Amino acid sequence: MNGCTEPRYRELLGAHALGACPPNEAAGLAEHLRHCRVCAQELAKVSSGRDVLFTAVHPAAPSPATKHALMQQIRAEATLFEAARPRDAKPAPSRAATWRAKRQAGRRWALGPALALASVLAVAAIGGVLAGRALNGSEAAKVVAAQVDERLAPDARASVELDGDGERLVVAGLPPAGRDRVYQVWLRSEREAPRPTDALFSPGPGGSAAIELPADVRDADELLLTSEPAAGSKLPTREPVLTATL
Amino acid sequence: LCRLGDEELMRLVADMNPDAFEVVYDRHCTAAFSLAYRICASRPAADDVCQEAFLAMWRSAGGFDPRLGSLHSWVLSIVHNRAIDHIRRATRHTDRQVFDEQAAEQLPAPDRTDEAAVRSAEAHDTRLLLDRIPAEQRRVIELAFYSGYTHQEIARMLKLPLGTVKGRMKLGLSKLHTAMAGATP
Repeated sequence: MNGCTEPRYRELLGAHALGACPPNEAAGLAEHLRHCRVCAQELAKVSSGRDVLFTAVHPAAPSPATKHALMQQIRAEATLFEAARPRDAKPAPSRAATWRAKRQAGRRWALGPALALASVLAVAAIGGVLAGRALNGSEAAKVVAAQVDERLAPDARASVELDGDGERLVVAGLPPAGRDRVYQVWLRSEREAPRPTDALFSPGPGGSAAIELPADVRDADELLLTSEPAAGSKLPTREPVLTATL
Repeated sequence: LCRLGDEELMRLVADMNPDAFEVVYDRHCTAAFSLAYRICASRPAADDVCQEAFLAMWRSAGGFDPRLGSLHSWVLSIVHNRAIDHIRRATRHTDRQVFDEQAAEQLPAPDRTDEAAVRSAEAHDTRLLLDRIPAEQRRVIELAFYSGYTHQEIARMLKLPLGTVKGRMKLGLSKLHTAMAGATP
């Protein structure tokens, strides 16, 4: 097959399909593939050969406990999402709508501002305040669903829980804070600058964490979460990943 | 729900429907776990990888685009990436475990549902395809795909020129593609 002027990239196609290229080479090849149809076609071919490897393994069953734990978490997240949908307003833009929007890949960037607005609306829907009844049914509890910035944490969900046992920020699907960085919780009252807290953390598997908050969160109007250097900061250095109006 | 196709189910999953997700899980968990176990060579690690991968799938269901491939391939790609990340993290300071095929055969087999029977037959057929390519090509492909080594690491390990390793990978995958096309009715 002729037409490719960069043989050093062509010889990498097999390794690339197998995920065996170091990051710098993979990035160079990805750039090359944007312009070289010959290599793109050949990559499609070797990738379909690679797909054989997905299933060329001895069948084995996962433990039932895996499904049990997974479904518990899935149902909890679905309940939180469902509870955060506005009840009296017209139905919130759903993830299905987002899915359909993503399918229009060719129009995605052309519709940038409109989709950005749709994103904000979706975030606002998730960010509804659930007061008076926590998920466990305790009447004294208050759960506030946070508004997540989808650009910074597209898969994240978070809520602030205030009940008789204390104050917590519960997050899931949060991306890593970055190299040598942690997430830091900030509190804001009225129009003051955000004040730092000692609540610093790195999310665990699945981007999840349950962080104890200082008691004065009950007096604050807003909670913010930002990525900061490992020792924390005195002023936020990055945009908030999420905010919760308390 | 069980009668719905993967694409329709994923529309429901993207709308946070846990029952639809459960059907997707039941349909693909055996293939996912089998791949994770082949890579991690440890049942607890494979369980963790599977759980992480399906959770990621639930949270990013809107990102599934059926025009780019089947749900089966999408799920297995996520599992593969997570499993390779897992072994790279876990074995940063030790040698990676060699997968024991005999031990794998002693694992409890999946339930004998129709789905499991299809997966088992599929696995048998694809292993036969893999056996058809020359051993030296199969070796570099398996070291990369199932053990997560880069082409440079494989070249050092097998004391082969880098170009030879890259060539064997590409040639072996091309042969697999041809064999698969020939095997498809």
